Amino acid sequence: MTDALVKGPAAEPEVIAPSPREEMRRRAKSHVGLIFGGTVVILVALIAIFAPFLAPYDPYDQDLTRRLVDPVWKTGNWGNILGTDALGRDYLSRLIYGARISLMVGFGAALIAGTVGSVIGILGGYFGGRVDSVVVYLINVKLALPGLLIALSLVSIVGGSVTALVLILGFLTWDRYAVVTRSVAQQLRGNDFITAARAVGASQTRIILGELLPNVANQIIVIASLEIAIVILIEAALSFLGLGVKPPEPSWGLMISEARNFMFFKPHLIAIPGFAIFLLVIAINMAGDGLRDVTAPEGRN
Amino acid sequence: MSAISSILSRTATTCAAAILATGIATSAFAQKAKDTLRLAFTDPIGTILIYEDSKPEGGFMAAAVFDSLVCFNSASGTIEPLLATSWKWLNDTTLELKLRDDVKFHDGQPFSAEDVAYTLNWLVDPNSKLRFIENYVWMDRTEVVDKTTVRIHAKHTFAPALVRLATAAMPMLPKHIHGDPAKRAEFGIKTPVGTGPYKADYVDSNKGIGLTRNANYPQGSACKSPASIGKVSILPIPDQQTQIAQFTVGNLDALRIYEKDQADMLGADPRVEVTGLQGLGFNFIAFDASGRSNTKPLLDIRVRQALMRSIDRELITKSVVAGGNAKVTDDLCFRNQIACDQTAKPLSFDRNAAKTLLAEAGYADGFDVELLSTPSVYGLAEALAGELRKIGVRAKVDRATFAAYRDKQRLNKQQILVNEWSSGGLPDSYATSEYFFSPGPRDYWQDKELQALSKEGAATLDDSKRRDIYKRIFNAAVERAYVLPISTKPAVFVHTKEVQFTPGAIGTYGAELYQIKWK
Repeated sequence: MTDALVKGPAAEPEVIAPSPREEMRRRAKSHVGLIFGGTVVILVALIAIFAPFLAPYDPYDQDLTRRLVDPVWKTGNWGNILGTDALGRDYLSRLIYGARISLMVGFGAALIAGTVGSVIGILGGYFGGRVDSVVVYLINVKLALPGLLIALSLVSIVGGSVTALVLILGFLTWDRYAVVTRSVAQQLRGNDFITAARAVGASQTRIILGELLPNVANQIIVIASLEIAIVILIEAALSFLGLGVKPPEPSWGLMISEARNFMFFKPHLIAIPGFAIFLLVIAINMAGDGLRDVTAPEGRN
Repeated sequence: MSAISSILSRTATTCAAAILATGIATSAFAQKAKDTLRLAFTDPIGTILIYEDSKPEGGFMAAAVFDSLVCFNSASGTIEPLLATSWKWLNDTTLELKLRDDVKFHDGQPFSAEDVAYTLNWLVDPNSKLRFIENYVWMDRTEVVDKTTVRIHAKHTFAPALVRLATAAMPMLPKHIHGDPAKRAEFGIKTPVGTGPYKADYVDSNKGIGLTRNANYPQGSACKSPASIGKVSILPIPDQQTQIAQFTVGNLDALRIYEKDQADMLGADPRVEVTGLQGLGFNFIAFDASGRSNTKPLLDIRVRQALMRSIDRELITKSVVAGGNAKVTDDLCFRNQIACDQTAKPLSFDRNAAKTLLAEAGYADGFDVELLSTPSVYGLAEALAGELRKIGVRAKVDRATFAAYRDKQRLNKQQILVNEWSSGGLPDSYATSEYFFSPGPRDYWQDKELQALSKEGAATLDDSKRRDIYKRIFNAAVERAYVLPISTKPAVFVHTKEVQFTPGAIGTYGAELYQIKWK
């Protein structure tokens, strides 16, 4: 939007103002939260992608003769850096593979929810009238539903697996995307550049995809960053409750659940996956906040 | 998000308790002087009436507050007198019992043949609408002969009749209270009056259960002893971590533990003792050999044999089964159980042989399968899945709640079951044979021969013939690779050094309150 508005009359050659993109880059470079959050998220993503090369052991391979080995800071043994769990599986390897599940569920669900929500929201906001009434009705119905409770019941009906979780959570978290994209589309649809596009005879699809979508993309990304964090937490909670990913899959929530028995005796078994969830969620949130600050500085907090 | 915040807050509470524990752990290990034992139930019961609530905890309370007609001595494997002094079969379907004349209910009213006839006739009355009616349907009616004599008329020959009467699951109720329709509905909560070694002071789903020793217990014997500890209070604490926290700070004297590592780690405290009481419980893994769950590989006996041979039962038992006295077992019944015999041994552990068998069956690359497990064996099921993965079988574990397990079983979704079985507290091989091979939702083998044998076993009165029948059933179960028994399953109690647990209980809870003593 900013691009289109600022680039109206030809700029005076002697005034060298930074372009909005340059300004954004400058803000991004000085934004500590964005840099920290982004780095952590990228790092975790890399760990997840290269898990087979990074993990020292097979995360499923149990060795009952080497159960509950303490981590390196207690034993000084670098063979199992984070020790082993109750079935003698390497904890570090499970943590590394667990990142895959968290990210897969988080990003997978966000992708579905983002697509569904944005389509609904943009259609409602752009077309208005009856279409919008239907969209508002759908959004209201969705907002009235208790998400986690429905997720719980659906997962217990269809059974837990990564695919099931991605689909269920994807179709349960689209409401926020719809709300935001709808109101942005509503604001934009009367703007000159849309009218101009219409005047030159662009089709509805062309207008929505070519003119509207690029202008709501920033909002979608910011919401996605918040939603990914929420979905990751829900996955952990469901797995903790025994409804999410099935053992022996190494999900962080499941690791916490399995370590519950050792809470008083081997607290590191809970603390390690707990810290991993905490770090990833806070990093995603910080990155999301940062993105919003950088792209829409007027809404900074 | 409320679930998450509640999890977080629960975790925080327990962590706080742990910190507390290290601080004041030395206090409050002196309940003996007060003669009050404090226990906790993970699965609280709302009524002391086993006919309405048959959980293990319900059986534990039933045995404390009530008495059955006769008593099973697990040391000798025989049935001994309790409320009845003697009994004899007048013919194949009529059992006559002589009763004691000196027993009184907790409210002072005398116990008589009227109470027995009332209880047993109420059980078979269709208007009573009892959930576990199948336990009583063998009885037709019970008549009073005189004040101390009753006759039970069975509908058909039923071999385990007497042993059924010996379990805590068949307590005698007072006709003058339970027989009053106005008092019946709340009998187990407000007036649970029995003849047992303990009197119930209060039953409250929030406060728990309070009991006082019944000083007048003439029917006490080696088989069911009078109570030793004066007062007992049982708190409802559904979360095991909270129980452990309460125990560590000295608010509980004993605690039932389900996971091996918790028992081991708590036992490392020098002020704490761990006792494993072996009753009738054992762990097993069972395969769907009838195709009910549509798991094609399991239809091939070589695949089932391969799975059996891939499991290192010694290592698994040592590593994940709680109670230091748990042992690998080859049998589906216990030798002190009535009519128990088995000669067949499961195939020995041999991972290479297992791989060869799988390859021969055409599954060299393994297959996907799910292990259904119930809460008390989650750890075991995961360990078993890990063993199966070592021969290439991609096993997953469904950690099902008890209700979910029953549903899946009913809906033909049980591919492999990992579970424990403790004969429902019935010390007769009949219980196990019915559990596995009577037609119904549990039967994933649908082996007509074993179904018929099981039926025959229940209707045969001659003990040696019955023993032979059950031997054939249990041998076949192992030889046909239907069921692999893994280990015995002791009930594990963690307690202070002041408390002493005595083995010998056959009930599903694993201990009997009247057998717990101060040292």
